[in-house]
Amino acid sequence: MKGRYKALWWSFFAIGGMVAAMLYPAHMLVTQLLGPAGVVEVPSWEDAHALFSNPFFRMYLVVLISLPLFHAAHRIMAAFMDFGLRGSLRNPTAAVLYGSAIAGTAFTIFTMITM
Amino acid sequence: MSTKVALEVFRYRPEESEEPTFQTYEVDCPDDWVLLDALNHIKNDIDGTLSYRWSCRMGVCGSCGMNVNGEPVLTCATYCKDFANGTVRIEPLAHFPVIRDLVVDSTDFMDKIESVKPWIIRDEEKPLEEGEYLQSPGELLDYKQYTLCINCMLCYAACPIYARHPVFTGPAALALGQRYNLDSRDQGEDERRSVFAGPEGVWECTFVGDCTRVCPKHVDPAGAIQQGKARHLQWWAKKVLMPWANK
Amino acid sequence: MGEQVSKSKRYEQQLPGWWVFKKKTWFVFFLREITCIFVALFALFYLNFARAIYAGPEAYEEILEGLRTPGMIAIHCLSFVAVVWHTITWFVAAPKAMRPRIGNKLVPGNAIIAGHYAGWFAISAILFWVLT
Repeated sequence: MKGRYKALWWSFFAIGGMVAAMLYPAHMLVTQLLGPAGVVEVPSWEDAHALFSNPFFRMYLVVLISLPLFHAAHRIMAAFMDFGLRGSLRNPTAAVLYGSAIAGTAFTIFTMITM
Repeated sequence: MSTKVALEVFRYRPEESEEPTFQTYEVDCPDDWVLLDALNHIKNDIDGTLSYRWSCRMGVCGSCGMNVNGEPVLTCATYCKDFANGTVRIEPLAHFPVIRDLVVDSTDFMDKIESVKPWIIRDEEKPLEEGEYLQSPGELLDYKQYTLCINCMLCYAACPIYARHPVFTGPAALALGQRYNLDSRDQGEDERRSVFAGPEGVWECTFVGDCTRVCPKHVDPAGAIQQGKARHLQWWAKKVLMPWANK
Repeated sequence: MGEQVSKSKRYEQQLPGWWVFKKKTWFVFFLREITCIFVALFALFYLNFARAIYAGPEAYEEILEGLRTPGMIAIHCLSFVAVVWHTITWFVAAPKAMRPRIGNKLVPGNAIIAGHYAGWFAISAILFWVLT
């Protein structure tokens, strides 16, 4: 059956969307807004490094970063198609978008293992 | 009480002109008139050449759907007084080919409804003497909402995906497919799968959600489609992860 | 007569490629969809942030310095709003994508939405505690 992997991509989209919805606002608020604005204390490098080096937090980071990349790739692809991208450009565009998400995931895993 | 409403009506008469025009009719509408009453008044007393579809006048037959000020509605359920002293633009249901004036060609819609095999499919019919297929009230609840569709096609007129990509199976047909997939008496899900979850099936929907918004029967096709995706995903994951579990 | 009708020319109603700007609900849909850009940007930022922490105190200081510039804070305000919009719209959609039934009753949509919000607040509180 043509399009048999659509279910797989959609599941990445859906789980990634849930990850972003549940986890991103708090991360953004702390790291990008309240910390830099001086409202909350920014952890010292030692503390931050200890947290980010924890193996469970490393696994968490892989989930936190990779799945929303698939979410975004899926929505951008849908937007392109909504705007009328059909025919011969469709598959190459999908390859670039989902390929970027795969590459981002691979690089994240690589970072978490090696750094 | 009555209100003056100027109806700007879409006219298309292919034997006269290939381009559609708008014709304005000033109608004094009593407060209990719906737009369909105003159209009937135009047809009977002002301009007999106007063509449109209607039948039941009470939101059951699904014939009188039109685009009113750009929104697909049943004209039998839209009151004239809501457009008091203004103009109201009446066009055929969007996205469908127009045959004449406000009459659209529904062939494609009919084909799509049929394509999801909207009937109960059994692997084997049990003999009549064994009685009916029983179902609990809860099992009925699973799909009941999706049986309320009156095939008025408003959801297709609201769906930009269908407009841009007419091979998309579309809201009403997919909701109907989901209705039978959810029916505990049905065993035909695999027969529907190639259309339901095929390249022009549920995956084409990007969940704009306007089908649900315009549905006069609160069928919620958008919800049915998203649940259809999740349901197909469960089946797919099971097939891939546990191939031996396939019945 | 029926034959005449079927032979007559149809008028095709077209929808342009920029349809999302044609209707308010379609534009709201578009606003929901483009939040994914900000989601992706944050994913990449956080990967970079993690790498800076792994790289050492200097790189960490440098990235913190960059975060404190007013321009960056402004951009991050915008992307925060966008991602919260993603969260809200995601939760609104949740009862559409799932329709659980307990016994002979469907779980009301509002209960599903409320459950998501409760989860979101709880998880956010935990993250707040872990990250600060």
